[in-house]
Amino acid sequence: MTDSELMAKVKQGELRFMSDIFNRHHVSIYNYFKKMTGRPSLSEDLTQTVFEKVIRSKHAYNEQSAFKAWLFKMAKNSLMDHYRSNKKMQITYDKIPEQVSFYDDDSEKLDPDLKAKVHNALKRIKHEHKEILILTRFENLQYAEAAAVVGISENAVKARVFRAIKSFKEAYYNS
Amino acid sequence: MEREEKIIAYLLNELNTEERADFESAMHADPELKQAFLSYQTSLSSLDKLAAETPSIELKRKFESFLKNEIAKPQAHQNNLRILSPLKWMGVAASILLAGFFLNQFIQDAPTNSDFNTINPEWIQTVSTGKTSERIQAIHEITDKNDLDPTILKAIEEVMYNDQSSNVRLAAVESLGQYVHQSEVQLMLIEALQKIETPIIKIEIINTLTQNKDDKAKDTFEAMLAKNDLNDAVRNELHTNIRKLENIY
Repeated sequence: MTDSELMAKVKQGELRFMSDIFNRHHVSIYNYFKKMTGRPSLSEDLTQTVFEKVIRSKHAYNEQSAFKAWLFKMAKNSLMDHYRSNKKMQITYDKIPEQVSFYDDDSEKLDPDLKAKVHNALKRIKHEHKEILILTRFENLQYAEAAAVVGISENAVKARVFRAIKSFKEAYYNS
Repeated sequence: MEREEKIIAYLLNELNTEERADFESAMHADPELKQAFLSYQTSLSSLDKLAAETPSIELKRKFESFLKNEIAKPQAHQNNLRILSPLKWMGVAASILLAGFFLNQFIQDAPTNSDFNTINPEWIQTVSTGKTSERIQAIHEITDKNDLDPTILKAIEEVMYNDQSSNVRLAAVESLGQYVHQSEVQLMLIEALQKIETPIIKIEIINTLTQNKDDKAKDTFEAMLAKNDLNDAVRNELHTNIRKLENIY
């Protein structure tokens, strides 16, 4: 069953199909939050919030639209809500050391120094640049899908991706 | 296209065959360009190698527990009905009859030349006298199978106000929620929000109206907050949803 077909079932009140949707997408949503915030525990809380919102907002989903884009838009909005309700957390973000959790994936392909270098570079670039890199490079959203998530045109996404790669490269070599 | 833009376009595979060939020739001829290209390639390659991390198993457990509760909600309410006192059962029976009366009255008043056929007598019978689960199913089925029709709309509205079970009334709100982007449904829900007393129904209506992201809902919520006798849970929900409407999308 496709995501849209699963959501159609959920909309009809067959909530058990939410389990499949969660299993398919929770790691992606968690990684979006983890890379945006650097905080594993907060990322798990926000991931839970997103899937609770999917259930509450099930009737707002239009089966004709891309589910992944709708889901990531919900994630983006949840993160913004979090920042607005706890501005201090956003301000102190850079002061928080990268937390190495016991459940970090063993398959990490980078050596620890390079990994730290990438994380530091990601921390130093603008929020909007980091977001577009995560959506397009890690989550493999098409420009049209990323445009729906971020709320800008497809051309603007493309321009933002270019600027983000440029600023990431500068941060990477200066970190 | 500037030099750096061309490098990025090359790395993103956004140049056509001819442009790629031209760029590669230019790199061979210009060591500075090649150096700039390599620095982009290295940084982007490091970024792409950052692997996905796995959340703790606790996240899955927590969501499954939440989902289990959500699935069990209607069942829990049905179970509650079984322990009602005989006196309360009489009240329940009276409510069912009342809901049936409203629906039948409504059907009798409906114009005969409308899309009246969209509601068949069996449906009226089920929604008037069926079990709770049957009434919920009937509400969902009629809105899933039919386009918005004034007759159906009015019938669901009657259920939202008059059914004896809060779960059936919730199902009615949920079904109307599918059409909340239509102004007549939005106004119907705004009116119901002010007339219906049951907090859980009010909360469902508040969440449904918020989905529509409309200023009318926000104005209604703010006006309601001025009332001193508002239920605390409803008040909290209004605050939360006003914030959502202010920040939303």
